[in-house]
Amino acid sequence: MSAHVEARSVSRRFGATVALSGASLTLEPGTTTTLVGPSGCGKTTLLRCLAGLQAPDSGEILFDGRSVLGMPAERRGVGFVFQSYALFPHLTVAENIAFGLEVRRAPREDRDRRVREVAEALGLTPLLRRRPAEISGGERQRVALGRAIAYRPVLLLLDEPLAALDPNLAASVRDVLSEAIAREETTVLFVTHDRADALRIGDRVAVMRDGAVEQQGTPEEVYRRPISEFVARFFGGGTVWDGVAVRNGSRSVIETPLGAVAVADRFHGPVRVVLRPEAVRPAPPGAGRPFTVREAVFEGNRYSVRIEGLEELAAIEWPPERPVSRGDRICVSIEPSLLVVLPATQGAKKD
Amino acid sequence: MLEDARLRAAAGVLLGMLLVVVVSPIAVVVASAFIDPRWLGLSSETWGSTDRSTATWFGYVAELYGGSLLRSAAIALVVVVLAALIGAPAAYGISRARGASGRAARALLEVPLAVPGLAVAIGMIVAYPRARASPAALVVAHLLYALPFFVRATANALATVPLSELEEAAAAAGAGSAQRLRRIVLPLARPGLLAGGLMAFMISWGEFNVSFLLATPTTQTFPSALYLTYTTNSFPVAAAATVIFLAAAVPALAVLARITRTEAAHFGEAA
Repeated sequence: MSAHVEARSVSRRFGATVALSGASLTLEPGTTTTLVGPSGCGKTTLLRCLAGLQAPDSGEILFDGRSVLGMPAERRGVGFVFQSYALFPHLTVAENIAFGLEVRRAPREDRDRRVREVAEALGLTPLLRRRPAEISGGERQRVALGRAIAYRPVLLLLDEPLAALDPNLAASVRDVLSEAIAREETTVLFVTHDRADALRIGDRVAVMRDGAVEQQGTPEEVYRRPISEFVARFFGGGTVWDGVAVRNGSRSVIETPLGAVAVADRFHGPVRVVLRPEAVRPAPPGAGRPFTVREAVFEGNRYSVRIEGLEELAAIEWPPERPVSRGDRICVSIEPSLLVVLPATQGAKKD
Repeated sequence: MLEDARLRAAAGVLLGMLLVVVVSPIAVVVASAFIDPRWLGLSSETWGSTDRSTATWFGYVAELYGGSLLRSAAIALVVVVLAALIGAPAAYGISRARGASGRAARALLEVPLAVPGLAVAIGMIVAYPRARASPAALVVAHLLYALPFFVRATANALATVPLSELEEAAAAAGAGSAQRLRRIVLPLARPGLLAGGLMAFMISWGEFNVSFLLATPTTQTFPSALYLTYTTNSFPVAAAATVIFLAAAVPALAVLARITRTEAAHFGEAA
């Protein structure tokens, strides 16, 4: 029942604003893909085009290889969870969940059974007779999901479903959501602007930039092997240096402000090096480079340390058994396998 | 919310005074329909004989003005139906229109309210001299006044919800346009449709200015007949006629109040 979904260079503009310019995306059946990117990059528009709530100006959208462009939203069999929930205020929780089954004229027995099943899975059983105005934000979000999965959509689209919830609630709703999504075994596209959620929830992650999908891959791929500085920077906290790589057999040696590091990539020439906080480690005795601590915050199981001279770098983790405070000199080294090396815009070759 | 008890008390007193001012003339008229007006301290010179029983007055009124009562009721019902047929789609369009165009459409619809009935009547007599005697002319005139209220009530009901998003949610869940209309738009508009329909009925039922000028002796509506009763017949007869007239309006008002209450309960806080 889950669809193979493909968007091929979908473009859409609103007046002078370009929302999508050649966005391409492939969703394998039964997988969950998270769609991330800065706000205004076209995530929601792409979602709405897939759902049929918006028509692309150009491009193609295929479900299981067949174009759905001429197909209105109500015939695509898609589930859509709106950021603002968009629950029907005049219907009870049960009626909201049953809505898609009712308009499909599902037999009453099947409908009731499925509503009970969905409500049970989402912890909504005690609320079935309430109206949306009478339940909390987190409960509304779960009802919105229930309404979207009850009729077993071939594709489930979620538009920032956690954005309107406060962080504590978002965490618990996210768990319920992920569990329910996993159980449904449908193709899922989950829009979020939260980088951590993107990596955590998706089997695959698609990163959007300026109306197009910049990279699509497993969470490890987009995080560790970003194809561009944009993607590398998007998963944040890092600092980027210009460097020169010198090839040495199957490895390259790159000179960095933290010393020369050997990386497994075969680069030669100017490169961009992305250093993320987790690649910075306390140096073993007698190694590494000394730096001054700009800020040290004790967090119980660790210190969060920021380093003088590496302002762009987010706080690094420092072991709790080595007390450190502002102004101290500490020695750090780099874990080369966690460095991201990209060819500089021109020049560097990767072979 | 008024927090200050003195402010609340002052508001209560003002409201009480307003009610006395509004209700007392009606109360006097209603009372005169059932008891001898002289007991109310009213002079007997203008209303002639009062030697009949109350029940007789009602019978007399029914016999004398039954035709105009039925005509008024029929016209009001037609006005309600037409107001719904024209006004409901208009209200839907206004609710879906974004920004300035929606506001402009709303303002335009309310223009007739600012035009005196006299001007409307004379305009219609000049523009459609032959239609003057037909009930259609009255229906059109009443619609001019009823439509803005109908549209406003319906549009207001629809404005309490994010309508276009709810329709999108329904479409995504598999509802075609007919199903969206039946299961989402109409139920959400219902309080407004009912309130607007009742208002349209009452506006038509009570409309006097235009109806009086357009009506010929054979196409009189009840308010015109009522006026003639007050000017030519005895006061108790007119009072009895007024009671009949009010009898139709009061239940409508009660229903209206009820709709407003259930609507508030229905949608609670932000829906």
